[in-house]
Amino acid sequence: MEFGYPWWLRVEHLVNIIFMTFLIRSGIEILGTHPKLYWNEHSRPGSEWARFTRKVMPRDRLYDTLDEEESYSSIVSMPGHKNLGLGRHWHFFTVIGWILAGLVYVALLFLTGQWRRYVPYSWEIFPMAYQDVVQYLSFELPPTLPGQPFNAVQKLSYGAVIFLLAPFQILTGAAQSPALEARFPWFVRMLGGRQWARSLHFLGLLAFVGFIGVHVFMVIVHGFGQETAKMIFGRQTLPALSTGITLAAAAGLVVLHVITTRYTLAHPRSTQRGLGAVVMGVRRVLLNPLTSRQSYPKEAISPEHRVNGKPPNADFYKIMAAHNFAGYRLEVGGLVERPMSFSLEDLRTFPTRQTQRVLHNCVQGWTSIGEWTGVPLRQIVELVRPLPEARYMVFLTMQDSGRDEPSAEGAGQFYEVVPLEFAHHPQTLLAYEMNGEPLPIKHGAPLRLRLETQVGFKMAKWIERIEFVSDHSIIGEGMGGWREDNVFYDRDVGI
Amino acid sequence: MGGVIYGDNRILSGEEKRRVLLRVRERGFACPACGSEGFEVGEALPLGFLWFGEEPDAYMVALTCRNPNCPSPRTGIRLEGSGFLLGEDE
Amino acid sequence: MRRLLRVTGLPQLVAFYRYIYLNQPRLTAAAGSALALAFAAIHLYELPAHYEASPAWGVLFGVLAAGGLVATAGIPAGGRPWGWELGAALCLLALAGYLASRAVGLPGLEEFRGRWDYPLGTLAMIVEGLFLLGYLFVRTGLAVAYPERRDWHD
Repeated sequence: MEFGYPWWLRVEHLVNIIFMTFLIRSGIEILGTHPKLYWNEHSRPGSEWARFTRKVMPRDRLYDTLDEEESYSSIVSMPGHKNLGLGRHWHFFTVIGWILAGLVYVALLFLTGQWRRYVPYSWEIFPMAYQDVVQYLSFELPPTLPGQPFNAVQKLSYGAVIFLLAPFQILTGAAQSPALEARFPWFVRMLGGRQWARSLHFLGLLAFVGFIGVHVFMVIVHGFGQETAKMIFGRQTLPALSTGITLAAAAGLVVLHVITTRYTLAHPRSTQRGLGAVVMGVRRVLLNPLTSRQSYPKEAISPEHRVNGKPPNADFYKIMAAHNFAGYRLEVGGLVERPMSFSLEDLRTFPTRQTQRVLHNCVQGWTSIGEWTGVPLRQIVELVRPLPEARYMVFLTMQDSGRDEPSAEGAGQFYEVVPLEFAHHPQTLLAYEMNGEPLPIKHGAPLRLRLETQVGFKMAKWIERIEFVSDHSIIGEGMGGWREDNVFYDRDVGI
Repeated sequence: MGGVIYGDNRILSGEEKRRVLLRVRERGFACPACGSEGFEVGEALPLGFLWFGEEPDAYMVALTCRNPNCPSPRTGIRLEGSGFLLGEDE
Repeated sequence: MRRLLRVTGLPQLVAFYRYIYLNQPRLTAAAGSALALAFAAIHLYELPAHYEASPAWGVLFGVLAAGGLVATAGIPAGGRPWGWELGAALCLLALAGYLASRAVGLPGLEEFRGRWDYPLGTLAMIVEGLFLLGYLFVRTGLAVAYPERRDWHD
């Protein structure tokens, strides 16, 4: 067959460059929020195999993972300057586009027979590739395979990037979704665990960046004008014009990045709403229905469960804690038939006492494994009987982020909104114990939420009230929680 | 509360509780709810590690007002550990 | 001067570099050893041909090969990074010698002048370049190599 460079292949190449560059920059933004990589599920402090930070944490004070966050320049990260929430929106938005474009691309490859340009169909390609490497090392350009557009090394490299590296990056990325992990624990285990997935995803990033560097270098070596002409006109023609168009396109790409980055930093709320609308729709369909089925063995429990967020810095709370939370009451109200109030004793002596050993996923990327004991939330819901119009639960806490958390941007009472459907998930828990002991203060004593298909910030700690509502747009900034309001996170966070 | 004691709290010995009451009297601390000066001493919560604004040796010691008619008997006093703790079992 | 430096982007590059730390001592040492071993093997393979050109070159290649082997063993063994230092010195010497022999020619090896189309020579340059990069990482503290360990307390 005649391979050539059909128009759709050229369009895909261009679209791919745009998505890839956004994915790389937003990925670095996400990495910067917890700039440490591990080979263990506990993310045990000090056990990282790589770190990208110069910060040193105190020994004599509680520090949390917000203190460890790095602020990177916009040159390497999107949008830069410690904007995990916006970086996530960009990463997820572009990954949806990238995967769709990739599926179309692969489908067209197979429909048109063009897959043969990338997929080897003879073992002979390996000795030929060896010959090609020897020739490159002699500073000579190897000939293309007979009747094909590439030499053996090129064919193997492009094939590996399209059919191995891209799926690898999608799989290791998906394995970092708490909803997927909770529903299919075997999938994460297959990759070596959640932190393995994160580390491998990073190595995949390095592989992509390395490929792009070598690819561009080789385009220059093979003849910049000639090679770029194939991707512009579909054949080797008008090298000077191709060079000009390519350089202009590269400048255009830079301008696109500068404009979107500036816009994102200047208008974070509309970026959150715009990108979030797309991402949320996909998540609602793919991730929200997944329920947690985790049960880690006792030996897997992390010796030191990490924390994000600092306890209420108020005397009323400290006095209550010194009294072992004897005066604590959980208020449950709002759009319910029977508003109720529970003491800790009420909760501890509830007919059902559920214990679960699960993986905790922080939005920042670290994980730990803990055992949590408490009352299944669905039982509280059954007791208070929500009215038909109730659609969300608002968890109000004793934490005031402005007062308690110097590393946080924003102020006010910490709260999170959770769709009512999550209350019916089997492992949604109001936990009062951790690892067989009363819940420690730093983990949310006396009561915290466990929502095993979501990332950690949704699992409100130091809860004092649960309010059933029909709509959350008039609460706070209306985005569905303190983090959503103040640092532009997304509301349903199955990934 | 069925005697559940949180791991964050430190259980005080009889002697340590006596020392706390001494400090309470020295400071002239009275129940914020009813003004009574008689207290039962409970556990002590170390504050220095968990809260950034606190002195490293600060504790919140649980005090329960002895006045049976007190509307809010659970209170507490912030003390330096060196002022009431004995020995080192930390 | 400072402004001139800033225009080059060098200070930013150094600042970026100082943000990266690796704690894979065994992998780092294994990579260093493997590169030193490849270096030794290439120079051993090249020894006979160079001995024919001149015994002095033969002896030098023998020294390079033997030194490469010593570095291979020394990298994971020593408490001090002498294995890395030896390897880096040999790589620098070999790289300079190769470039000189191809660019300006060396006594007894005049025939190699301009002969860049030698795959094993290019491979040797890559090996030496990677080893020197590794040495830079270890030397500047970006990476640690076994038997040293990085002890982050947090």
